[in-house]
Amino acid sequence: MAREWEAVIGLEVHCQLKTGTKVWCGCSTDYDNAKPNTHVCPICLGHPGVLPKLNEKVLDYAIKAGLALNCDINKESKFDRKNYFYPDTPKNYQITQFDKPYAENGYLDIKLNSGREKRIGITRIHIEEDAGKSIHTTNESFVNFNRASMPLIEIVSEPDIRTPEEAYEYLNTLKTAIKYTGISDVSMELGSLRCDANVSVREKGTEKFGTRTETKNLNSFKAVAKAIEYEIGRQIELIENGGVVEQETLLWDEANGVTRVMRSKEEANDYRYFPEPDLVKVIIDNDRLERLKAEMPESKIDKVKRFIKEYDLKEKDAEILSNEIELADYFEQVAKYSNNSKSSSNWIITEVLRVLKEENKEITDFSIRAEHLAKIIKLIDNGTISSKIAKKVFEMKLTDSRDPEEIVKVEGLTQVSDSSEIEKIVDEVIANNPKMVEDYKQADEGRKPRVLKGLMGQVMKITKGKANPKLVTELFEKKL
Amino acid sequence: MKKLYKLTAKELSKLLKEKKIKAVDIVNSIFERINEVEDKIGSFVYLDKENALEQAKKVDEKIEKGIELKPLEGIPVAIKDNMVSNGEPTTASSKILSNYKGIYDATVVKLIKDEGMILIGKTNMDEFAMGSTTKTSFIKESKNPWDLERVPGGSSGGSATAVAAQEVILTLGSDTGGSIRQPAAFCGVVGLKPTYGRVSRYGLIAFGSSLDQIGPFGKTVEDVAMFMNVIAKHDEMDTTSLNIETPDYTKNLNEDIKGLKIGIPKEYFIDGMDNEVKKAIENAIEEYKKMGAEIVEISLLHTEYAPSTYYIIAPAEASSNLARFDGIRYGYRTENYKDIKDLYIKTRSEGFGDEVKRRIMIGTYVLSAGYYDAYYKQAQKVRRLIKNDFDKAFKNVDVILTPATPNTAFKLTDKKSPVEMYLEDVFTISANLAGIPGIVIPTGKNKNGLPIGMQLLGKHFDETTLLKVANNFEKRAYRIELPDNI
Repeated sequence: MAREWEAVIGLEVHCQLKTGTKVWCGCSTDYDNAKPNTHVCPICLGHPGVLPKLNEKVLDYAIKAGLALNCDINKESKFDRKNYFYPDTPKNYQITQFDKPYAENGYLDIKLNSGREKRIGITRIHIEEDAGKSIHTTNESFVNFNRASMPLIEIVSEPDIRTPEEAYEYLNTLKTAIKYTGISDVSMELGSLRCDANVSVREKGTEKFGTRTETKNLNSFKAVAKAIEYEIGRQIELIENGGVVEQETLLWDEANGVTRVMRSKEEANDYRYFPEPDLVKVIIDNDRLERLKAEMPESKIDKVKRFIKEYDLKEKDAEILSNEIELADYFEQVAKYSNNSKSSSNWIITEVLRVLKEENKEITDFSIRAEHLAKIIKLIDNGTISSKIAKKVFEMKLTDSRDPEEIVKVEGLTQVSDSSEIEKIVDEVIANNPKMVEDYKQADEGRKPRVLKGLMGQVMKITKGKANPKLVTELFEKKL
Repeated sequence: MKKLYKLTAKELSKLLKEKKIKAVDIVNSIFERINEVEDKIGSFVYLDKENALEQAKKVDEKIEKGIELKPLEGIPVAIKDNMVSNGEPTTASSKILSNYKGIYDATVVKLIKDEGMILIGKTNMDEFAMGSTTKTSFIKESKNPWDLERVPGGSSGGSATAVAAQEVILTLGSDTGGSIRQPAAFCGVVGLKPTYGRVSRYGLIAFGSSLDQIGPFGKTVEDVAMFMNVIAKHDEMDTTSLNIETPDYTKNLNEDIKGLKIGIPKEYFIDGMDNEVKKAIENAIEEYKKMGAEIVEISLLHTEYAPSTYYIIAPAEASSNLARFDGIRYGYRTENYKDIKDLYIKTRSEGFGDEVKRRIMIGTYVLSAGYYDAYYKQAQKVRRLIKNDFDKAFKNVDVILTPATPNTAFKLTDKKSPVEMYLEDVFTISANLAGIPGIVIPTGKNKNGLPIGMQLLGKHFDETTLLKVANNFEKRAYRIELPDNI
């Protein structure tokens, strides 16, 4: 019988904090479009004699991440030095947290496509500094230190992940949870989120871990899943063919869909960790913790629950609306102004999200203000326009900043509710469509509405959709 | 009137305020003295007379306008070559920084400038503050003003000789294991290592970060106290700098010390200690008794482990602190290299001297994965025990009196092994491990006319008592006359 294998996966996620200033100095972190080496100072360049000083905002943001990921926040932690030579590491050591991180023992609940839920443990989160960037041309190398000493947190998961799908969902859930706190853009494209995957395989039912490899250079969630899948396959095949998995650091080669060896265990650095003597202990007192807890936004899980309860939404809709905190806020505003949460949810999920996808935009860049979308919904609800006209107004609003009421008024889109006017048209339709009228009269109760719809269509055609459908229906029913 | 360079800061300040002299006169006087003796002594690695005169003129203008001067305004000062000053060479007396100019001011430099003191230059030192002779300097050899064939001590040798040879009024040194106190003893000047965290280390090129402390040299205890008033300030740039108020260190200097308890640790009177040094310390104890102090024998049990503990922790930190000198961003870079690894190896092989390399290797070794627990971790535990010894002792005594060094200044040509050299700091090292303040003052001379130093150790942040006890000795028992003919 073929042996059955199980993968053991742990992820290390680096997340860049958008604190505005670097972790040990006052240099700006907004260097994206800046010239190389313009956001630097003696401290982040590691000049002789300088000392680091912890940016308090970094600590606040890091604590928020810890709270968002259900971690215990350690009252006392410390910084350590990790020593290694690299041209874009100004001090030739990195200040990080080794054996006493500020946050530990957290978890994240993920939901898989099958609907099954799973809890993934978070071993620890620690604060560290980023390195600069090396740029190589054919015969010269340059270093840009703008990124040096950017504040990072490293989130290390427990080896609880078993499949590429779980890894993918873990990253998605993690991204949402972090993004909710507002401490990071968590974007792999922008480089504010980076992920390394530790993968090993073992025979199902065994306890002992197999030898793991660490894969770096993963630049999208999909790449993470693909690389893990490849690595699981490679390791199983290797073992089944009598080989042994080596402890190695691998690079993911996206173009060829394979992992390649970056360095083997023998080449591994001895980082010579020791306590950073230039920084005092990190003390997080209760007042600070309580303040930050109070500042924490509602989590996605709580928001979904609340949306279901408060707005009477379906779970799936509540989930969609809560995927991004800004979208959730938008929904709540529309619901508040329109006083119709169901309709608000429908409009956002079907229309707004469609437009955002088509235009590849974020909700924060969406052209229709929440009050205006709410007005469109209100105009339907109070019978001023039909839902068909509403769609038209919505499309116009994408490029038209006028108030929906004004658009409806100026463009003459108001629903015709004058019964004498509609009665005339109804009579005209009845007179011109004897076959349909006969058909209606013969139809049983079940088929009647369908035939009526055809008649209604004629009325709408004449009125260009402006006739009040309710009134039209009533008139038809009365006359026929 | 005596030549101005011979006076103390206190005396000069008084004369300036009374408009009897000008700051420019002081600067001219000390540069005359420098011209006269510097070739023989070798205190300085960098001097800027022009700038000094410019600063002095500004002070004189202030005096003329009737603006009140700060206590040390107009007083010439020199700093050890490991303190960064903007736009000026700062080399730590190493080849690897031989072309480096500071791009900012160290906090102490800022404080000196804010006070209106006149920075005249930088003093020679052991390379990266590693050594007990100032002979490891890449730039030059400094000589003991009392005997030009002898070492001035180290690593702040240049700062000690500059004061002892009366080339400048005040200097700053740094002390990682005794680098202020040992040369102060050898050169017959007053040197204070403040409590760790009392003076900002921002801008001090790090050697052993958890041990390094900047401190003053002066001709008298009072001058040193005045200088402490300038440099002992909390600094936000240094998180290990404590946020407590600075007392006026000159206030209690002349109070008597009746009833004050002085501890004498038996472990500090070791075999192999120079007899004359021993006698001088015994004399000092007698003098203190006469002044009404109570002498208490105490025990600092773990003293013998201090040097080995120190020579694990200091190199460990140094190996990491010195990693940044790699030829990539600043400083010396090797001429020919084939790849990045080759660039690192050649730059550092050519740029660092033997002593620095030795300590980087020791440090790298004791921090490496297989040896961390056996060495570094163990050393940290012993460090804690040494600290506890002092905490216990200071429950019963106000200060601790010890010899500063086992011997007086030795000859430049004396061949000592690195380990013998490391034992030069045996009496001073413990204070750095425990973070407590220590002052060394002259307590006499030996038959060769070489100064002997006595060390007083104090409680954390209690420099006030140290200075008072030292000042009493200087005023009532002994004050050394600095050598004039060099």
